[in-house]
Amino acid sequence: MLRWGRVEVTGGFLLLMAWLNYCDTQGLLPLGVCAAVAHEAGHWLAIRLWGGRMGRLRLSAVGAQMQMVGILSYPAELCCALAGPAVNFLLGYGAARLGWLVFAGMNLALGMFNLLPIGALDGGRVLRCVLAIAGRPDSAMQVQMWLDRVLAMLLSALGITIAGKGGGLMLSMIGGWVLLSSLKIWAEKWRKKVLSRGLITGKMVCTDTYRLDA
Amino acid sequence: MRVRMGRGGAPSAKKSQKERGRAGGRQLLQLVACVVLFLTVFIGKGVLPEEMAQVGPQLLGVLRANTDFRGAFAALGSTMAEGEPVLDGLEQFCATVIGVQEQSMGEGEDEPVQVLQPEPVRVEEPEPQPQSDPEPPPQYQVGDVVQTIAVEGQALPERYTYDKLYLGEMETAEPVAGTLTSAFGYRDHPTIGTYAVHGGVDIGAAKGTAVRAFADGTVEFVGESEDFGLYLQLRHENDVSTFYSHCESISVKKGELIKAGQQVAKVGSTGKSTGPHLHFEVRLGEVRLDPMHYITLREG
Repeated sequence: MLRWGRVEVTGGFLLLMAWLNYCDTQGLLPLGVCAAVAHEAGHWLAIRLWGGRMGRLRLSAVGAQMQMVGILSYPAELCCALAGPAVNFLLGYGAARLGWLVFAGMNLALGMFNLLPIGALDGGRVLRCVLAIAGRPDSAMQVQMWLDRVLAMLLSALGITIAGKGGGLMLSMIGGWVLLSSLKIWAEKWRKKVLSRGLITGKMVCTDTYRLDA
Repeated sequence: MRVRMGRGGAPSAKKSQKERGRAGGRQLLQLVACVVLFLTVFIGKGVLPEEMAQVGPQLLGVLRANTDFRGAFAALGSTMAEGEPVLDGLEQFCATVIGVQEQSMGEGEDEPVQVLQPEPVRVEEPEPQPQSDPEPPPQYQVGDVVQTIAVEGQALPERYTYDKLYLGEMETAEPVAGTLTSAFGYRDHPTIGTYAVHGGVDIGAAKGTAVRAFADGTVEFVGESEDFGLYLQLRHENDVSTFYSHCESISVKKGELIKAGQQVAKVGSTGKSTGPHLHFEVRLGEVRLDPMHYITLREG
């Protein structure tokens, strides 16, 4: 794993980038990277605004994770999680007005994709925060994990069906990715569970590392 | 017991011996995997260069399933520009990217490999630009999808698209006064006999009918081949090119400057042709488009 300041880059990430670059025959990768950078910048800005600090930015094969230093209330965490997609939507709208249709489409797609209620994505965090604010912080993670399992199986099954009938492998790959990133979260969550027991104080929970993924 | 309170930065200093050993073992495994991969490609390229050269595009084809991502993104972006219901745009985008099409899943009796209908049914979405638009129309860039055409049946290979792309503003002319005899896309090839992709349109006309240049440009090349007979290609602005084949004769030379509507050839039946017609193709860069988006044929 390479490290440069507070940015960590895994070997898997480099491989992923190389492979994407190889597959990209239409020059979409630079645009995608720009959209992703804007997304992360949105998260970073929101975290700063609410008094947190960026601890570590980890670029791995399953995506970019921004670790936060400090504890945020659930509403604040919700805003930080929504900040990424919000930046993408704003950028997309602006780009569409300027006629940069491909970039606009990418931003819209990235924003909407991140709002899917999958654990590794912003949408998952939004879901957990909403559940916590609604009064059920303890079961938030449980609900998320179950949803992840169901979605991963559903997407993989659907993806395999479509691939079998001659459609693309895209959905299968997405299903596989959801499964992979979910497994990583569950493993981490299990480890953290042992360490962080006994730190729930009222409405603010010292949760595990804040994963604000791209 | 040391508790990690969401603190970022360096991993804990007191990593156990076991953890370090495990990390070391995993790194070794990763290294071995990389070396094996490298050797496979390296040796493979040396021993079987042709097969290896084929594997790349094949693999890419399978992975991407010939999805035009750029077009899909552009279409999605255009829904934002139009102010159309974005959810519809998203639905279309997902369908394109995931590779779902309105396919009939029945197997044909004579063609066990093909899973499609003989006549593609066009499901056109409404033109995004209404006639009386108080606001100025959105600025399209050359290459952006103006109209997405969903066609039932098998997907076109890479570098072919049914979509109407924006080619820029240029004065165009009808290439020949004739009637459409064979459309763009999948069709039964009349001489080869297999179901194949038709990269352009066939316009039937009497032998000797004038073939005219689609737009201003230069003659890129003139040639003759067994398949296309006498052919020529014109290059226009914005990387648009047009191709004319099965000609009886060609009256221009390579490098000559041509005006839109100028006669460049005569309709014939040279090459693999079942009758006098013009085979006409329109390309943006390397992507073949449906010429019927850009020409109108008079009733012959």
